[in-house]
Amino acid sequence: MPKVDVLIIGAGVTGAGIARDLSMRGASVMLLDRGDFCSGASGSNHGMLHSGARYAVKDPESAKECASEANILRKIAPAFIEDTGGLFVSLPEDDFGFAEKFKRGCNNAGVDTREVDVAEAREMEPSLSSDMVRAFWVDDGSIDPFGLTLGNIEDARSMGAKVRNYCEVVGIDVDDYTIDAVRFKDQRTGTVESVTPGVVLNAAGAWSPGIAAMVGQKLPLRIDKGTLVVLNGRLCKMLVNRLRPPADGDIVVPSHSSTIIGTTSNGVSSADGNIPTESEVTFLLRETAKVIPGIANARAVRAYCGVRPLIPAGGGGRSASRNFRIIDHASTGVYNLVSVIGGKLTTYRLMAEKISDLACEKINNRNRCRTAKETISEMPTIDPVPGIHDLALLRMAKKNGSEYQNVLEQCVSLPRGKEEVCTCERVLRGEIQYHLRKGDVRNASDLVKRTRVGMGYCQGGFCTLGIISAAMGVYKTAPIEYIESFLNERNKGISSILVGEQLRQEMFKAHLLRSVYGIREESR
Amino acid sequence: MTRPFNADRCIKCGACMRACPVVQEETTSMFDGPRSLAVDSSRFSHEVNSLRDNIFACSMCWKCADVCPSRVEMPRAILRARADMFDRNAALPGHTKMMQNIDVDGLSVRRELDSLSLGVEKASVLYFPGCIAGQKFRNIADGVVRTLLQNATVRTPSGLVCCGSPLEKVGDRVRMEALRKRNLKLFEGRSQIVTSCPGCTSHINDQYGVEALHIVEYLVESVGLAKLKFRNHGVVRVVLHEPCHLKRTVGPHAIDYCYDILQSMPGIRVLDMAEPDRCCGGGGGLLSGYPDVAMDLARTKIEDAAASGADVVLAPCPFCVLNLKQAGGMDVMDLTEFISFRF
Ligand SMILES: Cc1cc2nc3c(=O)[nH]c(=O)nc-3n(C[C@H](O)[C@H](O)[C@H](O)COP(=O)(O)OP(=O)(O)OC[C@H]3O[C@@H](n4cnc5c(N)ncnc54)[C@H](O)[C@@H]3O)c2cc1C
Ligand code: SF4
Ligand code: SF4
Repeated sequence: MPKVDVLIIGAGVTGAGIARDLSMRGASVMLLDRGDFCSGASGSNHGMLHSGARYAVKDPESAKECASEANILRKIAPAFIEDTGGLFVSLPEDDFGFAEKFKRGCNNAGVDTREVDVAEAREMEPSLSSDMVRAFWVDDGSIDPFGLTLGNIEDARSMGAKVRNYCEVVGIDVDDYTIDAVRFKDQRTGTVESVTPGVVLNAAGAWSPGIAAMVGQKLPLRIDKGTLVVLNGRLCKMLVNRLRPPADGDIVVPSHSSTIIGTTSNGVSSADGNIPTESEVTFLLRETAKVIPGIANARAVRAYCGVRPLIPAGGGGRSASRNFRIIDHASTGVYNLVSVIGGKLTTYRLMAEKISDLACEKINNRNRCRTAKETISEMPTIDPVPGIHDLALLRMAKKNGSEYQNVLEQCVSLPRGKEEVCTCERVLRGEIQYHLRKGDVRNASDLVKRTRVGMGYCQGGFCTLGIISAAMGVYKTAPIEYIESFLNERNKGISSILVGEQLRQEMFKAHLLRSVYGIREESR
Repeated sequence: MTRPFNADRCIKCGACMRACPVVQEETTSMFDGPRSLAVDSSRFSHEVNSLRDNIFACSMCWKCADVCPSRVEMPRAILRARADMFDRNAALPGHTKMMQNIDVDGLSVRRELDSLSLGVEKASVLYFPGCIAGQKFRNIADGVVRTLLQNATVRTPSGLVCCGSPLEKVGDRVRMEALRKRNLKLFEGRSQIVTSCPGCTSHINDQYGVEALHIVEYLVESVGLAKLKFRNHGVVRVVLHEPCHLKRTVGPHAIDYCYDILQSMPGIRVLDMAEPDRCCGGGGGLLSGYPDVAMDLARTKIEDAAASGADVVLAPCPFCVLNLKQAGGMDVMDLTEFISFRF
């Protein structure tokens, strides 16, 4: 049976961060996910790089962590972060006194903030409502969770980590209070493999209680669903927060070619099977339009939801601490299992550092954490390439970070590699083929995470055909199933927002796919 | 923040991209095309600078908006983007020259002649010749005046300057406004403003808040076809190039009027040609910004016109005439000048 120093379960941003951290310290690492990378919360969050301001009043510890981690991420992952800056704005109906608490909280937590007068705020962010009564500048930003997670994974791989997606942990064998084998099923082949780990790190997010249960351990966790809506185009330049005690529909994040509004907070009983509802979508549109009136006329292209793995202490939902907790199961009977719960995208690195410290103790590795200093991905330098639009190059750099040159090389060298497959997001055929060849990609939805193909306003209406053609170039067969699964996945996010332009778009898309190409989607 | 006008309505049918004459002629490797420029790229508003490259290769023909099932007005968004990114120091050479000419004496072309000046006080019509008919092709202006005088009294105050349309097309709203003010002073009085350039006509209508008529509109609507007494000067076979601005931005009936007038002339045979309303390349700042592209479009137009077997191609627009004449290979004449010889 193969052996590794550390086996990490769950390749969200936390697991990916741990894999990189431990690889840098010279440990041998295996990282597994039952689905694609980022298929949990790390692929369905708001993408906000927290300055800490949001937590300044209620959760100063989180605020401090965010403030220092955000600055570290700006240095180590500049390709995946947009320094948009942020504003907290209050409306007449909001509690006026909260602003003072906010100011004090930020000061105490060391979160950089500055009150700006309303006119100045409007100049900084012209999309804001003229009803606004107070505004604070903060150092929020927008972050690409896919890029960040995949960037960590690639870096870990380059140092020897074995990282596999579509490998579900199905059983854990314990002998003498110690895990001596972890069994996992490779979904691609259906075979079950085993590995002997020195330490097992349970980073399965909302699913981590299930992992703990495999060895009879209890892991109390509150699962909290949050819904987000994607609007076409960038409706604001800065990240906009509502200045009030954290509530639903508070945050607007400009990201890539879209604006993401959110979020909601609802306790749910299961981490699986959640979908965004129409009432959540309507609520979010209405609530955020109070701050940015343009949202009322904007085009919603898609909705999605994620589940937050929250620490149950401190009440539920919004008032639960966003902090993380590391649980060493040694005290409850399994010596080499450590679970991590809670946390945020913004603080993933710190979580990874702490859990890696503990793992290293257990395997007697004395190397220190270096992740705060060494870059994951610089923003690549972009030189013009004949036949490729500047904008396509810029987008490619922002999505791929340090892999940019390799991706570009494929676009230039493959026949038809420079062809634009997705014109909404300016994704090139070579880019798609690069990711298909790499082997992690199993279906078209996995391609979306890596290339943003199909993320634009036509939601896969046109790139579908380009994807088929690009995939045929690699697999030599027409993967119609591949496409159907992709379209069905897109549809999950579309059915709750089917009104107006997006409805017309879907009618046109259905016509095109059915009558011209003979592709059928599941009835909705 | 700039959001293109109604861009959210796009359903990505591609009709605009297929219909755009610049895309047809040059492919998307040279010109991004209407949807890409006005709808797709603008979604990355923070990265909008990479539009700079070819946003001036749009001829402002409005064909894209015409075919759009969602009524997205892409040219308006393109104009707005041009205004947002206006930087005189980064202008294309032809546009710089045009702006220098404006700075010298308010005309978009170099002054070669004294400005047209006709002084019948209380005339029923104020003729606004514009830069091309006023300077480059005075024969067109003379033809317009001859035609108008059949049924009206005419004045052209001295001191009229460029209407400002070329400045709008390059994004220079400040100078455009200055010209508007100069002209508006001279427009005072009760005369009906008549132009011979569809670009001037729609610019004055849209930006000045006063009504201007293109000469063909004036002849049919105000004078009436019945009062136009044409004589037979021999058989001529003609084709009509339908100028973009006349067809799509001036008025819904202006092109029909052109045919009505031609059909009421004894001896004139109007022949058909392929896509008579496809842009000739003369407008939108294309001719000065990208002369090669303008020439490509003009050559295609001339080929189509020649294939019809006509003796002459008529274009009721001095800009089209200018561009088509440069392509050569066939007689080109402004419709109004042609009319003026058939009374
Ligand atoms: C709606 C929402 C909005 C948010 N917004 C923000 C924000 O704006 N900013 C911010 O900083 N944070 C935000 N967060 C928090 C952030 O997304 C999470 O804290 C973070 O992504 C957690 O990452 P993770 O790796 O711990 O968990 P996950 O990403 O959920 O990863 C767990 C992984 O474990 C895998 N797994 C489960 N079972 C098994 C098994 N048996 N075998 C193998 N693998 C398994 C899953 O497939 C999954 O990929 C938000 C969260 C939500 C839900
Ligand atoms: S106005 Fe004409 S040239 Fe410009 S984009 Fe539209 S169709 Fe093309
Ligand atoms: S014609 Fe209109 S709807 Fe169709 S692609 Fe162009 S802008 Fe979009």
